[in-house]
Amino acid sequence: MNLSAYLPELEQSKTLFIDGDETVTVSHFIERVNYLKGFLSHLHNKNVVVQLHSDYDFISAIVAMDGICKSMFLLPADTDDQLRESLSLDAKSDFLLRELPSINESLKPQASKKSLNEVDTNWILATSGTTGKPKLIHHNIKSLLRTCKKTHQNSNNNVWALLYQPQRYAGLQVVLQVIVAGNTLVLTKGIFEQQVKSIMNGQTNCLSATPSMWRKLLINGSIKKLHFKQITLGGEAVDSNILTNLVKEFPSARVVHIYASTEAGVGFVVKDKQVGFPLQWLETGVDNVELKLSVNNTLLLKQKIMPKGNEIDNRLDIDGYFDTEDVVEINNDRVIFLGRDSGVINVGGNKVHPEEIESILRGFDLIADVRVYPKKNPMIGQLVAADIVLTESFDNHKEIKKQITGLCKEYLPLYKVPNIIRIVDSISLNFNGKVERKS
Amino acid sequence: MTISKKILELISEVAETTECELVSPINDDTVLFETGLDSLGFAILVARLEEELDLDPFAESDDAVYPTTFGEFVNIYKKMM
Repeated sequence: MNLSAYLPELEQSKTLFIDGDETVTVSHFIERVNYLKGFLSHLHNKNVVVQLHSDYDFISAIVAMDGICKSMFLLPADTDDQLRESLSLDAKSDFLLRELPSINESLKPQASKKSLNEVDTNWILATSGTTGKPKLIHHNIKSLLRTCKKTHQNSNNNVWALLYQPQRYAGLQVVLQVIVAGNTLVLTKGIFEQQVKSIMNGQTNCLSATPSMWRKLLINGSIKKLHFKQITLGGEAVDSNILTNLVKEFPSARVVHIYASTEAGVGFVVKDKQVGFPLQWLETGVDNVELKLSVNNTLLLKQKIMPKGNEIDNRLDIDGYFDTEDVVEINNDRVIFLGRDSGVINVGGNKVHPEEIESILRGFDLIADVRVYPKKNPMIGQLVAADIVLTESFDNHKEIKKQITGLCKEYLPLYKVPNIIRIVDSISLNFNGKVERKS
Repeated sequence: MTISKKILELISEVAETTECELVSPINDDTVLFETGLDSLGFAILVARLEEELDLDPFAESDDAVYPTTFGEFVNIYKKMM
């Protein structure tokens, strides 16, 4: 079943998208998708790179093209020409879609509509490439929709907002969930404050974002006026601080954290409002996903339908388990995420996970947000450094830094205590809504 | 403040953080690793000096420099000012 086949089952008069001042109902969207199916019919069985400026255009195009194209490579709008050329070669693409006819144009009736045989389209996504050139991961619509739920009475009035890029795995999951369930999706663009405005104007009640983005949203404060039904966290390790704050602020919301990635797809969802996941899942598996730990204490997982690509093959063990490269630790009856294997700070041979230090610092009342990263050091390799956003402004930075160091020493061994501290106004996030931990 | 005084001030700050007990007095002839500061302490000291003086002689220098005494350590910074 291709993606557009879900649309006729939905309530036709329902608002499916809110894009700035425009609202698009299900029936309007079907009209647009059908027009595009005709307009793009020459792409039948072709390998297509989709790089469209507007999120709405992008979403309409991929819905129309699923089942038509042999493969669709979803490329974020801001990808530069050089990287696009290089990745297009990797994806063996033979067509680049950069523009769609305007909406008005699409109201004109389509001349001929050949009936095309349906293709099982290969969906290609690029990894974020924070540690080198992005890698291509191949999904199909069945694996992408594995955890998307159709609508039921309780979710009928769900209004989601899209804070992620729809071309990336996390954003695509939100878009697909909305389409399959016939919910409403608020598209956001521009700087963070503009995005918040769109979230507010759309009366959003469901939102998926990284823990870092949620922290920024809570610091901004506007969203506290919203009545959230669903709060989803993903993309980074969740600490108890953000979970507690979200549960306190939105007591009636369902707060879940999703373990998912471009490479591994959706692994599992943790619904008990606690960090990590239950230890027993290592024995029993969860939602058709089997889990185990590697000798290096990284989490390995095995799905019925694994995404494909060289990157996946390189990271599979002989039993078909995929190495997520996320380091975990067993703490009583929970498995806790410590951080990325590649993100470890090496202080004279002692390994430090920046996520652990951040989580402890965020527990201090005087700290609103923090980024911990390695600082190169000629004596012992690396030191732990921290950028800190304070809850209140203090003039005497020297004194406040001393206080923070003192607090850290109560909870951490000396080599883990951040020794280079900068007081900053805000922590900037990358295009995936994650904290960058490069020095 | 002279560079020597500045470094001494930072050494005592770092010693407080890393809970090292310093010898007294520290003068030009004091051997660095007998000051009481440990290797983590020195690493932090160099990083703090980079922060405050914007100088990182150990990373920028082509020839490896291995100061033995406090006086030599201070001189490396002096030369770069």
